[in-house]
Amino acid sequence: MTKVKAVAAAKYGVVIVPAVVWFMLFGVSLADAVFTYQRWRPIGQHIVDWTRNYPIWLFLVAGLFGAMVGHFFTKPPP
Amino acid sequence: MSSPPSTPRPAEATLRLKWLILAAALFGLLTVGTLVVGFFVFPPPATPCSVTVYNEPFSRGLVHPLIFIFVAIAAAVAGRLFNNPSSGPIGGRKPHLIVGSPKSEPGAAPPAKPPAPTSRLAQVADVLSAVWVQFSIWLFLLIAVIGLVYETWGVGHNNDPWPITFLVRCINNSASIQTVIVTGIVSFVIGSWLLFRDDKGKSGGRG
Repeated sequence: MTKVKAVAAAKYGVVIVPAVVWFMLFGVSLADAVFTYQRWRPIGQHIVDWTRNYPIWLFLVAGLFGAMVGHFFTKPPP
Repeated sequence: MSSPPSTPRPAEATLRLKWLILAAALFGLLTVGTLVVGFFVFPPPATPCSVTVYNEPFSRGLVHPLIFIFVAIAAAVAGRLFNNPSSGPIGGRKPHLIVGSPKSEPGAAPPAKPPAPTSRLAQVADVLSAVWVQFSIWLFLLIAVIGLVYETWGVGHNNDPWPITFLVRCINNSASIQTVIVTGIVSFVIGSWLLFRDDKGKSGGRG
């Protein structure tokens, strides 16, 4: 695949990437709402309990997310 | 032997949650329909963003990069405050609306432990909840692995095809406002989960 074709193929990527992020958020939010309505333990409660039990992993996950934001959006100009 | 009394569910909260679920479902259907119709009726252009002479996307859009950092931090803090309200209508007076660990009021009696499931249906519901959480974790990790494999493949082949980093920068170049909004939403959710408040009122981890 040439560079020009790679750029042309990116038109599908710029649709798929936000769609995946959006539907992950939507799915988790919908599941949390259903769990709360059914009085089951919501996903957020499971994750909060996990972060209480494994604080070092909490720092690693938070650091990974911060590094991703910095990597994506703060590239210095050439 | 009588079963332990269960806390009655307030009618107002039940009605609110029903509307919330209905609104979320309708919003999801609208999103799916918009994506499908938009993709086939109005396909994206061949070059969705500005590229450099090396056929790489420009890394900046309308929004300054430092604003992304500020929005991410502010949204994470807002998520933490939302999930651990100290007072107000979402706080201790209506703990059934809290998604997370409810905080007891000062001087109040410690919250009673939830009654153990007595009926077969309640036991099945508890198991189903745990299975759903495990399935969600598996699905999240599967998507993360697929993304990492694709990223590695793209970087290992001289950015051909574009790695996810390039795709995100391309999206930021062509739609900066939307990108910073989604970044704030994701940071809000992560902040509400990770920046918890423990029983002594301290935030953050202990390690």
